[in-house]
Amino acid sequence: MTDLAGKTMAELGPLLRERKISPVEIVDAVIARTDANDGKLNAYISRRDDKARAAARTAEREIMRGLYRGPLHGIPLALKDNICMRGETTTMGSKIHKDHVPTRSATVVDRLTHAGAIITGKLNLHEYAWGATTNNPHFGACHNPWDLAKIPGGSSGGSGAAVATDMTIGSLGTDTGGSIRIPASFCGTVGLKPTHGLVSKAGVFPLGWSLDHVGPIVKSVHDAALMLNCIAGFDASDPTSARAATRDYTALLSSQLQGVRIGINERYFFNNVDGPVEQAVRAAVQQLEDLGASVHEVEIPALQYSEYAELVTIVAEANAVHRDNLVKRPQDFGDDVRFLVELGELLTSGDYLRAQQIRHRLDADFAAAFRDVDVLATPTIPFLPPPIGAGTVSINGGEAPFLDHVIRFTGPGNLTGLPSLSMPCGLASGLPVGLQIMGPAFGEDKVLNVAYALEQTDLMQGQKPRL
Amino acid sequence: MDKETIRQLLSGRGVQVSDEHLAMLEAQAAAIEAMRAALDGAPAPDSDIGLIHVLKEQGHD
Repeated sequence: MTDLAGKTMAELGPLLRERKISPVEIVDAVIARTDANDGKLNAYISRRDDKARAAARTAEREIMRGLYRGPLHGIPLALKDNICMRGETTTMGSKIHKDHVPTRSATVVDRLTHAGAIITGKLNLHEYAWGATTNNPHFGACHNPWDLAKIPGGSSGGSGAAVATDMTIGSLGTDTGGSIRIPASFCGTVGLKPTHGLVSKAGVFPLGWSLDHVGPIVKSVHDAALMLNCIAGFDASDPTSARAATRDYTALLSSQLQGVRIGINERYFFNNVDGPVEQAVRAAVQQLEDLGASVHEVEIPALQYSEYAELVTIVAEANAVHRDNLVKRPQDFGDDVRFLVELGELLTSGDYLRAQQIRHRLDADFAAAFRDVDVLATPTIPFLPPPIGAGTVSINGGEAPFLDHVIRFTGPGNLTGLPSLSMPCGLASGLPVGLQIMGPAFGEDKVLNVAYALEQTDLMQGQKPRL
Repeated sequence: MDKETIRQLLSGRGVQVSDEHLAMLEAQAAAIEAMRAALDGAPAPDSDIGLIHVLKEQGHD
């Protein structure tokens, strides 16, 4: 069977269950694709080719004996390298942790491997996930598969690049200000940041405790639902884990949107958006209407303060995580991350508390909006991927600081903890544009359903990056 | 906050900063000050903070 690496989990699962293909064939295909592509992309920090092949042979034996575990059994996946896997070097993309070998796996890794998934390796990221370029000074820059001179986004840049080029079937990323959705947008993949507390963070290196999330970066909305089915649920080892009911997130996927109410917030989410991005996102919203949804303007007044709240919260919390090393071995940080940790020293306790008050108001404003609409539709990022090394971006001809603007539309999802998904909604200048869909707390089913319906219209027209 | 003030503040905490970063920190300090000023008229402080509130509001403990 041709191009197994190019298939989705949803396509591979039935073939595995019916014993038409073997996990060994899929793993071999993914490894071959990685051999061919990763010299150009630098998405992997470490590979587990031999261990993955051994795990594939075990999965093959189990399936042949009738011990099929479910939709992830025999599926190759890769992990962002700030997610611990027992016995596997987990670098956090840093020099300081370059030799760190965890003694236990993150809960999400245990859940995936118990479901039969096969881990093919650890993926490149922005150092300590503290940035959005994945221009990593210790492991090399990761490249955008649509244009190798451009960034893949970050911090889960290796995840976005690897999924987009079939070097893995799916990946896990982390998201503190947009780090799942930004590379998903820039690389043309699907990225889901679930509701805060729905997916365990135990065993995942923190950036900003109250903002951190773990979630899938995958090839399709259906695959995001399949992975969420596996990793969602209460975990006593994560103090922020929620005792929320989980469900089969694939069950409600439908191509119908009759009666679904889509919210648009012009004042914040369509302000200062680069023309080609805005055009693609508005076309996607029109497509949602064509599918039967209704579109409504909603007000979320506290968004005007969200950039301050995101900046203060993430800078303060990351400073708390890294301060000890800033004092003891500052030379071992990359220059940009060292600066951001230093910046935390300039904030006051009043800044931090005020930021948390703004988050509370944002919570209330979003909750009010979601009484009137089912989901919100926004651009994921207000501009197209910039060149590697660029500190500024162009928005409608104006120059803007990269970091401030790259998280402008994703940050509110972290501040509120609300589920937010990025999916590709077209190409502009040969680069993918991301549409963000946000939903109410634990409303992943609504978010996934709207995204799935839109995906069925084939906005990308089957286009993939050509290396 | 000027560069020298920042340098002394951070040095007193055991954090050594390059001249280049001092200039960048000075610019960021001004930006943060502007953001603080822009908070005039922001929601008044209250006693309930954090993420738990929204989850309860929507019926999830």
